[in-house]
Amino acid sequence: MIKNYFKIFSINEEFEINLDLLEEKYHNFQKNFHPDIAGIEKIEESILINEGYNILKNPISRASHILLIHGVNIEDDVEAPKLDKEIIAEIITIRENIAYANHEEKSSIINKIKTDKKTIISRISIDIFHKKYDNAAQELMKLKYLDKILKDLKNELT
Amino acid sequence: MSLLKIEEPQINSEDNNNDNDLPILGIDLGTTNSLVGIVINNETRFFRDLQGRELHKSVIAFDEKGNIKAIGNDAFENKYPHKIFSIKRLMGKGLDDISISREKYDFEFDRRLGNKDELEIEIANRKFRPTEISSYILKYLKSLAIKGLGLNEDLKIKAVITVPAYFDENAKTATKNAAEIAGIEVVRLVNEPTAAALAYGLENSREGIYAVYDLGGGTFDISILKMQKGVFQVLGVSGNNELGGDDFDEIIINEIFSKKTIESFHLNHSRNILKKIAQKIKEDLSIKQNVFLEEYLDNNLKNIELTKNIFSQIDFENLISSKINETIKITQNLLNDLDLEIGKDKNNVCGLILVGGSSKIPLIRKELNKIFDKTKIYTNLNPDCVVAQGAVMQAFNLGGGNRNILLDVIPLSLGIEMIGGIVDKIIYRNTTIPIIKSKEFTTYADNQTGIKFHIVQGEREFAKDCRSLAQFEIKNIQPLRAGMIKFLVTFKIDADGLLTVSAIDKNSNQKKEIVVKPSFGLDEAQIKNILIDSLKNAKEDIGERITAQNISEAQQNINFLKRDLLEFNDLIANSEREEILLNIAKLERAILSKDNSEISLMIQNLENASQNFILQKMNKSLEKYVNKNIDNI
Repeated sequence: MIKNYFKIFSINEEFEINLDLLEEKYHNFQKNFHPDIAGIEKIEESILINEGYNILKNPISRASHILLIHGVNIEDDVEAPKLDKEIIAEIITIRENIAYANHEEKSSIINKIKTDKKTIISRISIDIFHKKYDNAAQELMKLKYLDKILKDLKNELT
Repeated sequence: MSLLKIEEPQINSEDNNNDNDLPILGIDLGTTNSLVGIVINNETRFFRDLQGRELHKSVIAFDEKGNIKAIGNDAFENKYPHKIFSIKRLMGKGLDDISISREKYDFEFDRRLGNKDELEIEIANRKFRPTEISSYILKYLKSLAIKGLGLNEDLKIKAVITVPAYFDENAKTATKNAAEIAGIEVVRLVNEPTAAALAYGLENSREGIYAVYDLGGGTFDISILKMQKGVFQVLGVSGNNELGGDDFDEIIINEIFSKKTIESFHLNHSRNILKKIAQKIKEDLSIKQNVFLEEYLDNNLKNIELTKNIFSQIDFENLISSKINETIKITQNLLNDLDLEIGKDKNNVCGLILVGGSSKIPLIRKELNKIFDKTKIYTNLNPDCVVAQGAVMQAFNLGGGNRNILLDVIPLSLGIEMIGGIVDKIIYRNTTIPIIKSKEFTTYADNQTGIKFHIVQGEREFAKDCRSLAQFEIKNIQPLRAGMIKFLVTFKIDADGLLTVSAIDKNSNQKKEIVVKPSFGLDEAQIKNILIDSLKNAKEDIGERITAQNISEAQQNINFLKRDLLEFNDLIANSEREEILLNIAKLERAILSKDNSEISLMIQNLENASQNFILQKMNKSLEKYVNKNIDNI
């Protein structure tokens, strides 16, 4: 059974959501269900809300959740669709560039990835809007790779 | 989703009413100093010792036979044959964990213990576990509060206790155990930087995202929180459990005293005399450019050899700069991980709060100014008391005094060791708690009849580099081809950040479930033994105690279910309801029999029978809430 967190938070099942509203609802929920307020009896509700908020607030997990609702599971090792060869090649190239880059070049790679991420997120948003879930899945998997690369790079540079 | 096992300390319903009247204390159990307080007439009041001091040294002193002679400031200031300092750094640790440079401790450890056991410290011919030592400090703090409040001494009391945000599961469990031994019911463990932020936030009703830099005696924590009206949400924490003021004391000792002096004090088990001098010098160097070392030597301490006459702030800063830089790097990395920048925008970090005695060091402020240049650095509350103040405020909140909520996170990822020693993370660090995550695992060899689960905590890729929390095994699984048997492993973290793990064999008709708690500290039986040692009136035996817990858990489950069956009557088919009622009846019968294994079995059966209903109920109750409140959101 797939839990639909959009329904639980009663917000429209769209990629573009109002994050302030989501947070407000989340806080209101927890003001009623957090074990500190409601006691241990309501811990399951509190857990469900935490889980849902975590998934919905982040664009990557939110997109992934929308795809899951529509039958495309990119989180499961077995069920996930295969990544396009071009994307694999692209990721490998970025990794190679980083391996040979000096400190300054790495900073510019970081900026490039940040811009790329924004472009990909807007493409995912459009794909989801047009219900092109398979396209969105490819973009999303690429985004996850880029996100990982970006975090590693940032931590390396600080 | 199954009916959850509630691991919170159980209170008998009869005691409940009286218990609720009891005030809840806030305790800051620090590496160097501890405080205990309470809110009275909307003001925080800390309990004082006989000399009127609010800050109590976390020190225990012993006579030559190993009997405890003094705790707190008395133990710190006066001469005793043996002393234990900074016990917090050893909480939840085994021989494996301590990088023992012999000079560092004034005591020896029992080396014959296995690596899986809690440490034992040898004082004279007696042995003490860190949990036990910590419980004596807690008992002392409790006694100050009880005297201050004019309460009966044998009273069990409730408290909120602070722990470093970066404490792992073992250390948290050990702290909870220590409290239990001291006769304190822990209402909540609160992370220290969170408590500090709470104190700042509630004091001035601040809003926005703040970073809390907490450098105490033994630990460094960085924590980032979003404060809003009525809600304190921790966005992320990081830190280093082995970096603090103690390290700076060591650096000073090694710099200013000759090797011979250090060696001879060590042999006399009186290294703490040098430490006291180093601490004073360290404090003075926060306000002075130079100190004259001779001035710090007592008249009767003429046999001390100094390596220099003058020690300057610059010398000191050069010696500690690598440690300070480490804290700065950890801070930067956390900001990166959370995708946060510094700035006025409401989605950026708008201020920095400094906490912990060591944060007074000028070099730290200088370095932090470089990152947080455009923003405000807050130091107006006393860094020595601010954590305790937060603990007291949270105690007041939880006692029903206020309706503020605190949404906290787990500091370190939790996972399971896979074939090849790689860790598969189940719950990632900085996930908001309480939380549950499940993952499916399968057999890797044909006809495998057992499977071992090794639970670890940490960020490293290999299990050997992470903290080992617990291991358990499921035996007698049906021999089938590899990958045919599936296990659902579930990690549950409660609001204290304490972990419970269960695994279910999905193939066999009879589901197997094992609940594991981090067992590295003390298990129920060990706690029990210490309780018997330290309490005169401990009567019940271990078996009875476990049965009693089981019964109270069973009764709670039954009560919840009966109530829900009435309230959500329309959610289930008749056959399902009957199945649940039948299992309730069986469990009630088992309770009457007081047979522990029977009760456990029936609890399990009831959980299985009611699983579907509980899921339905949860969805329903959330729905109801959404519909009711959607308009005023």
